[in-house]
Amino acid sequence: MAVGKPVPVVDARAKVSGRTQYTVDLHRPGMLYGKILRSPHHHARVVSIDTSAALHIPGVKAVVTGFDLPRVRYGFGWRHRQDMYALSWDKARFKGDEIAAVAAVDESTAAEALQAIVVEYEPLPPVFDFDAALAGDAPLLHDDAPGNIAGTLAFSKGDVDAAFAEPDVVVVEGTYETQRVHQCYMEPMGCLAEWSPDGRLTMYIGSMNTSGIRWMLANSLELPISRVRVVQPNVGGSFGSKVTNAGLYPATAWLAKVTGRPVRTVYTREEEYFAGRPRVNNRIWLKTAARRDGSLLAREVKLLNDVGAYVEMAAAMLEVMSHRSDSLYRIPNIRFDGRMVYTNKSPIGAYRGFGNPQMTFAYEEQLDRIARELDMDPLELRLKNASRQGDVSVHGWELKSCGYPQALEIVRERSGWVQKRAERRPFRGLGVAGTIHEGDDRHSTGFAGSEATLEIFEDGRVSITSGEGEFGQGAHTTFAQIAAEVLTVPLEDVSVRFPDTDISAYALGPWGSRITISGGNAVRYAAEAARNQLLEEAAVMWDVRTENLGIAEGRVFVEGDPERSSTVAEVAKAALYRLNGGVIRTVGKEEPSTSMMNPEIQSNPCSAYSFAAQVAEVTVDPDTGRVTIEGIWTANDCGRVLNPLMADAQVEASVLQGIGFTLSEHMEYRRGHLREAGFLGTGTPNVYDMPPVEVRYTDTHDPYGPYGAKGVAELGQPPIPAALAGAIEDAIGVRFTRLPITPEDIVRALQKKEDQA
Amino acid sequence: MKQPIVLNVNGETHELLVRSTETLASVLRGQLLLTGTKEACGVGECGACSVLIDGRAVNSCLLLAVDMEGHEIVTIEGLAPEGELTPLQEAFVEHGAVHCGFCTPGMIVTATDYLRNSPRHDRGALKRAIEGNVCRCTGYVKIVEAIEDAQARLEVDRV
Repeated sequence: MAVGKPVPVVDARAKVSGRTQYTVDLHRPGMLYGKILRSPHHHARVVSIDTSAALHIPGVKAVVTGFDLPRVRYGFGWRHRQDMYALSWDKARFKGDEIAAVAAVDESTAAEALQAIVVEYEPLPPVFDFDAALAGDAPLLHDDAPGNIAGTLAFSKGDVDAAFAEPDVVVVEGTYETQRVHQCYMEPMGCLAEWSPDGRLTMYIGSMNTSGIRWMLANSLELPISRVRVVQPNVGGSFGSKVTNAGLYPATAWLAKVTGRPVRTVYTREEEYFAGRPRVNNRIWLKTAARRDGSLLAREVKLLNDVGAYVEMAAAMLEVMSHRSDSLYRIPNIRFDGRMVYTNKSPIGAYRGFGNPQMTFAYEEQLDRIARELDMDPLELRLKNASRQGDVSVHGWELKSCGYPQALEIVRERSGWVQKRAERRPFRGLGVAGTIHEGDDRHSTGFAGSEATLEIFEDGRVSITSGEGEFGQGAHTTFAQIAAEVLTVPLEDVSVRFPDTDISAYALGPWGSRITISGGNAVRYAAEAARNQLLEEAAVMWDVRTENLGIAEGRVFVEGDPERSSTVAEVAKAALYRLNGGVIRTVGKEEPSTSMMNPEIQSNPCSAYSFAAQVAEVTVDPDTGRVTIEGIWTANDCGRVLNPLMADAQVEASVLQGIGFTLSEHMEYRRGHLREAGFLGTGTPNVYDMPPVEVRYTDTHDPYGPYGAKGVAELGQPPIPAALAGAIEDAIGVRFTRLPITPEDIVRALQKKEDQA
Repeated sequence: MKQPIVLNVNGETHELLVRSTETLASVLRGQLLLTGTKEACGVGECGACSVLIDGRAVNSCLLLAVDMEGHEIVTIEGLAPEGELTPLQEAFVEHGAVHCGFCTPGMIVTATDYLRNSPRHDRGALKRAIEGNVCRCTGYVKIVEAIEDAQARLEVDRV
């Protein structure tokens, strides 16, 4: 059995010996080094660009600007606003906006060339926050976006006004603010571009969305899509961010085109902060009503998302934020009004949870307040309202499996919730929160499934080709486990190829916790077809009926006839060398029967929904404001756990990222200036920040996911801010509604409390 | 201007031409193509570029290559012969301490220094040793377990 076993990632041995090649490690003969010139202004018209001095520096091979590249606007896929140029030529919209690119024989020469490019700017007034951007006389970032509104989404379900007006209901209301944080993947964004003599472009990109990036590259460079090949090498982490097409890809492609040489461009860590795609910061106004028995009645949300200078994938995020958390509890009346606001800051991108940690932070705080007003145990209140298996939520989401109630019960028991709450200790507190996450979220009416190819070589080894990327999360290991399980071969006999748009099928990529469900099912179907083909070949070999054949431990055999048994290799070889035979090669295709999220109608966008509950226990030092996390107990409903070793690490890492988001991580802007642009200055957690964390799983079995599995990757992070804020409140009697919660915030709040008393 | 230097890396001698401003990390990765040493921040905040200099783990992004003459440099590629793993590397594999793998070489180099210089188990010292190494995929739990397991195995070997 390969499925369910705690196996390390399949390429671990190569990785521990330093022999794994990532995009930043790629070298080519004659390769040049690319670098990007970035705007020093937050908002400025580009008057002129003089590249002549830079081009005279020995070793500089090319300088390109937005005037050289096709001046077409593109965006994150055809459904979204097309508001970006590969290199900005009209104006710079944030400090860090891409203005020009150079290619030189080494990095220091390229850096020197950047200094020699003379750009004349006409500075324009910038806007940095919601209030400034939405003011009546605010300067506009984009002429075609009046009021700096990049997009809106509003809908209502049920009768919200009537619900709030019901007699004898508890109504709570509040405003919540979150900050920008960087995903802090270890490998910076980078790419290597090369053109073949027939005019085809090959891009090596450490991305998680080869098909999507091919589309964006083809559009921004005005190339037919068939002229672009995107290859994905190993990726040093992503956490969602590397689905987008940063300007460096088309710029590097153009440098390679004009020089006729391969060009590699890699971001510095500083560039990651100035020009990466961090988590969106938002302002959430929320109002919730509950009946006196604790049952949730209505919720109203007004959401502002600060999307920065370009909308990128923020529209998809707004859709997700508008719907997701409403299906965690049974709640019949919902009103949502969300707006995306342009500001002169870097664009935002995906990060583990895709808006979910922010929304959960707000929603779960109000549950705590309702519990207090009703004198209920906050965990009991959640249990009372929790969605259950078989529910169809307010938006039409069909919860075919749901372990949320069980998850709450697990963390209640494991954390000692009841006992600890009874024996209260000063400055020590407990908080609880839960979350629901998507599994394979449909974002288009087109193909939203996955396709995998599987080949069995004549030596019995198995090769899987899938366009769904591996970026460190373990997709290849999961795929290999599934194929090994179906074909009953050893795990080490299965290898998985990295995506290459010339070879692997079109794929949506590993966002939305969809890889195990969608990619995994495609691999399972391919493996099942290959198993059937093996049996058919053995039936030919032995002249028996396939119904009389079995497969186990890597051998095909005739039931009840131990004499007639062959290894998978022997059957594959016989198939290849017989007349009219052939290679054992199959395709598995998965297409979910989901419907696209549509606020106007009931829809079921995901193949499955995952859940988690968490309890946090903290001690707060009232003198220093320091929060010590005594423990985190987390129970996860990711269906059947296919690989406990990988799942644990996914949850533990998510929890730590959640702790960072809550207590330390912050891309802090002062008057629009990013104050720090490095790991330390932005509060990235290290080994000391990891508290004791207990990871448990519910015993849920999903009817759709492979072997009952659902996604696990995005469960750990979303409940943490709410659970920690609840625990801090329980410890000191102050609820924080703005992230991060720093020691300074805590000391000030305690002082204020003392002054008032 | 470039200048000639001689570097001893993984037991081999290399004659190189480098700029005086070039870091050891850059020379190892760019000239010697020893790309196991990673560069994730370039300013000594993440430990991904750690190498052993005369047996001690150091951020190679903070060292100038021209200053490294006469020192014994060992990179992740030099810890074990091709195809073999050290007990620490084995423990990283077995404990699932490796995910994307980008922090892994630096983490292993740093922990190698720790194991050689802290013969007895001490979780406090272990955490101090790797506090300058950032990992974003694992939450550090399995990394700490792997290092402790390797230490236990080495202690048994010593007995």
